[in-house]
Amino acid sequence: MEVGSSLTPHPSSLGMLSLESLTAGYGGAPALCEFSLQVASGQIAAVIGPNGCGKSTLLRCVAGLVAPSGGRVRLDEDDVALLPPRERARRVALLPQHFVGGDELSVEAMALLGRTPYLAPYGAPSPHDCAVAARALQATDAAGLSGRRVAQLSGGERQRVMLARALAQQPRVLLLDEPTSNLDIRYQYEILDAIRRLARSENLAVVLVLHQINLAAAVADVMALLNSSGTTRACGTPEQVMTQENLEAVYQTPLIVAAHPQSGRPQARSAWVFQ
Amino acid sequence: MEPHPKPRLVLPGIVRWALLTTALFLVVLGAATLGAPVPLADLWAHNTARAEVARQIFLELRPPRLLAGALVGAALAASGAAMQAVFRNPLAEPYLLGVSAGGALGATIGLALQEKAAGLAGGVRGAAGGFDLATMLAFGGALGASALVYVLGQRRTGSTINRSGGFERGALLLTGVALSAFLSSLMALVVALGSRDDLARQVMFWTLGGLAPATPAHNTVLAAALATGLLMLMASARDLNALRVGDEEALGLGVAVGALHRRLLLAAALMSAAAVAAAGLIGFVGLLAPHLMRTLFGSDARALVPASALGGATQLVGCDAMARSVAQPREIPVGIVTALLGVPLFLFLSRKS
Repeated sequence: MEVGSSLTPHPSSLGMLSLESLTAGYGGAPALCEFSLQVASGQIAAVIGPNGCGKSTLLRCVAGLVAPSGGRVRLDEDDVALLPPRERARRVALLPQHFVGGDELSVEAMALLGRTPYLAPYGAPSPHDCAVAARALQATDAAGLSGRRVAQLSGGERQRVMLARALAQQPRVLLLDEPTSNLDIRYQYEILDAIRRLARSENLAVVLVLHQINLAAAVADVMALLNSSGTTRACGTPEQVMTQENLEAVYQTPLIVAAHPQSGRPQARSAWVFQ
Repeated sequence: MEPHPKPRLVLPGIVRWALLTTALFLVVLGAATLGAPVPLADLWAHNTARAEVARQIFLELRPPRLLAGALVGAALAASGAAMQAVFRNPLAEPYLLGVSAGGALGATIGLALQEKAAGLAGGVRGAAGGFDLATMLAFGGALGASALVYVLGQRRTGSTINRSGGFERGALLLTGVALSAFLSSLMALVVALGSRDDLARQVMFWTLGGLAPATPAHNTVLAAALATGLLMLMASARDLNALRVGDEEALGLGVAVGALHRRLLLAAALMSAAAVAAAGLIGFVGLLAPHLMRTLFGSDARALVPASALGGATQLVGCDAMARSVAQPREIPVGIVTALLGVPLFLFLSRKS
């Protein structure tokens, strides 16, 4: 593992979300092994790696959906695994990769579900809750979708509504599992742009799991690259992580890494030539 | 901003509630007067003899059964709403987890022992505050079977949902099906070995359901079970609403999913066990009423749970009035009517959605 996990642009707010030697899995061999990462407020950390390397497990761990078998997740001074679910949900919001339900809900009702950790047991939302949900929909450019059902939305629209729901939780940490999957390239960049703006304006610590390494390198402040075994290959700035050596070792395919002509961010292309 | 999901049939909320309560009122009124030997207006007759007859019929004889119909219908429907929320499936119903088979076994044992016990104790009915043995054993059997299914259906896995007492739906369903089959066989065994000739017929009529044996004592217990169950559901409305997007997302939204599952299953078992003990196995109320109310009121638990209870009450009081009157002077088991009317309506609704 290369050094550099302490390299952050905002040293003053360092260590807000801190993953310490996190190990987790579902029985048998751990899916994720000794993973460490620090993410400050306003920062985006992107985790990349091949299929089955434990990226989603990592997010589920941070969100408290899976208990780690080793190490811990600290948010400020608290251990996330020890927080009561409601308290945790006020601080950490997860946007899962797959959605299993809620198709029949209206866009507003879906966004309002983000207020769940703030509601009394009977569940009546206050005008304040409605206002927060409405602001969240505006923040993700989804206010125009009001009145429609979730089932009627396109993939990109649905993703923006789900992002609004996560924002309505008013979290300090936002976890995103493949937020660009199934989106057209335009919406991939639009949603990441929205996430980046929100990270800065709301001072959120964002952890992003992405399959597409170039998108990750384009948007992230900090990156982590996992081996397929769940161990960490590299962690640091995109330039430190996205080296030809690291990527070829992890993905087992010849690659060319070059800086993007405009952003200067490292981008990888396959060196494969078809005969 | 409109905070609730828009139901399919868009009517203002107040109109929908007014329609539902009016329907319940009219059905109760119709059921009270249908087939009565004297008109309802006799209650206000100047002739005191006629007024007395009307008073006895409309204020003493008929209310216990009407009330039982409303309570059993409401209990089954609210229980069905809870089960549909837990299983996140509109086809889930109160009898899914062994309540029916356990209740039937208890009732059968009770019916088999009843005459003997009555002979010995000089009438168990008197001894147990208005409850016969079959009713009490049915209630115990229904609750016991649900508890057994819950215990046997637990699977331990690594996710936090299961660690906090949640369950895998598949395992629970399979356990429910298997245990129901087992208990039904036991019931058949009791019937086969029973010494009474008419036991099989009695058991059959019990399983078809009926509100005729309703007594004020039954209704008190039913009302208590219904009130407890409804309170538990309404106090979980926030979490029920979050559960609509799945266990894991609900957990992410701060819901203690395991505890919620336990609370919902307990409420459902309590209400349906009381209904089964009081009225036998009445089908399709617990399935159809919440389903119908979801199309009218949407899936917000704050509206869906009370609407299901009112809808179930309306449905069963109406069906019972028919069961009493279509084949007069004989009475047909109300479970036949709820199924005969419920199945076509259910098929129609499921084709539409």
